[in-house]
Amino acid sequence: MIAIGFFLLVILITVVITVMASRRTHTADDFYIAGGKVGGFANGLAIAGDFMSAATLLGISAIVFNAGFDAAIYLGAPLAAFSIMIFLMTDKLQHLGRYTFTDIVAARLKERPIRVLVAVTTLAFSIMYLMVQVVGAGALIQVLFGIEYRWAVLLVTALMVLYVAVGGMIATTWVQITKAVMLLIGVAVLAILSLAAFNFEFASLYAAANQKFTGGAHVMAPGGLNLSTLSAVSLGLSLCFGLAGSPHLLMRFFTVPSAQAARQSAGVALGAVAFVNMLLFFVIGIAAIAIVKDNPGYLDASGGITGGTNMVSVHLAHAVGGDVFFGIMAAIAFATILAVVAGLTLASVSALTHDLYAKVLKEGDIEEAAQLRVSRLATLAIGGLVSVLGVLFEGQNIAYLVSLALTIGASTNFPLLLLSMYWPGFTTRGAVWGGSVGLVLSVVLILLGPGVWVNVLGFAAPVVDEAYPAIYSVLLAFITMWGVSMLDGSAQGKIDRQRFATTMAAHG
Amino acid sequence: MSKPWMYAIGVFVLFILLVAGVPLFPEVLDALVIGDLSVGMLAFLLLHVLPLILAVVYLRARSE
Repeated sequence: MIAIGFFLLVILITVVITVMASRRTHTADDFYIAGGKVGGFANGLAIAGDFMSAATLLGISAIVFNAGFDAAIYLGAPLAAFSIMIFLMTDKLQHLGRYTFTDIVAARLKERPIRVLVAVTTLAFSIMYLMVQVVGAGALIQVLFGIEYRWAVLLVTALMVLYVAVGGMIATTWVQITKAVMLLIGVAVLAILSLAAFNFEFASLYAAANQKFTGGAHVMAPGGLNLSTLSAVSLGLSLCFGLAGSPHLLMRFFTVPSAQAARQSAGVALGAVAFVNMLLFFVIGIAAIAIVKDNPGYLDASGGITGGTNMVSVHLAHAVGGDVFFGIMAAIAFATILAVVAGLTLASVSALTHDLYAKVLKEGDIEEAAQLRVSRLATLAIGGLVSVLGVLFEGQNIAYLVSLALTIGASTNFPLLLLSMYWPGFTTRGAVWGGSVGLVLSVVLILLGPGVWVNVLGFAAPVVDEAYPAIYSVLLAFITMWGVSMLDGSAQGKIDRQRFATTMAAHG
Repeated sequence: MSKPWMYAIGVFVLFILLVAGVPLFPEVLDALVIGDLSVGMLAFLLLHVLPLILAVVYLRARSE
């Protein structure tokens, strides 16, 4: 009952935020970028909130629980991605973008083909990433309320449509900030309570975990995920480049009024993510092994963890903090998912309505009211599609699914953005060919790999053995972009090269 | 090479070393350096502290 109470409280708070935000959402600027008026510190919390999705609290805890030290691959990637964003991207994003990161690539290259390409890659990435969050939310609600998984998925997507369609970026930002603050406090309290259970002695905590850990010699011994060198590097590339090219994160740099505020945002977000990561890795994941593993109170009839290992952090909250803290942490996990799905939905809607509909189909000749109306309809359509995918992918590991979604971003948006910003020789033809190769290859390799071909579609063996295909798709995307641009002798190619000096080099 | 590129590449290389080290040299990552702290745990800590320090240095330099 307590958990249900906290859940309803979280929903109430976020709905109130959305209704208040809807009164301030009048223009396309308000809808897509909160009018560009969010402060640097607040935006930093919102970015941190976007980074810390269901994969962080639920999925990463599960990977520490199952594989110990190897979770460092998942946790280290955001730090490397943030560094690329802060040091190489924020200034150019802030100076050249308006609503989406496509604005930056389109400023440098021929607008029409670039907008079509990036809208498609953004949609492919965002919908896959959205589906992952919905899978996490469905499992969480199922565990807490015992309601059927598909109804849980419908509830989450309905809320997601409400936040975005009604409140736009203002609501999404404030829901995200609220969730980030709740998550920071919740994770800190969970770590303190977990340590208190071992009299604040790390040695006792680790000794208890080592006794129960079955993923390797001890919890901090590398090798629990049993990855080959190729798979490990491929996973690392997909997580790092995929996060650095995530449209829902990149568009947050347009919601602040200046480049200085954008850099401050990135710094605040970096600190918040580092804080949560270290607590998850060194304390919470380890305490889950020591306290939740083999604990009959958290095992189902088959002897597995109730709700799957994605739920170990919320079970830990119950073990160390009782029903009240369990309710609070479950509500925080739910708020985490709701906030991230809102941000992702907004990124998808922006790609569909701003980049494709307004800029390409209507060639910019569209009234703001009509654009807002289309955006709200697109939100509804995306919500429907994500519900179906969420049901299809029931029971899959969230962090693994995230790595697949990020493979798409790493193979498309990231190389497009980086080369547009820094390589004078990059041309439209190179971008279209390379982006298409990255998109098709990443999607095909994901579909034919064990993650989808075997686990979702039910075939006995995968067509492609590699579970983490980013190393192939990222490399081939970069090579195609480089090779085709080098061979491009067209008139447009010359214009593209000349335009670098007036767009990118001017904001260096 | 400019400082922002050096900072970004430095952190990225540290990350890739940690990632590749898991299958390539697990014994090295598992070796204890300070008390119960292993090389891998230290690398993980460094990966979380170094970007913060570099970001503060960079943000200060840009705001001056």
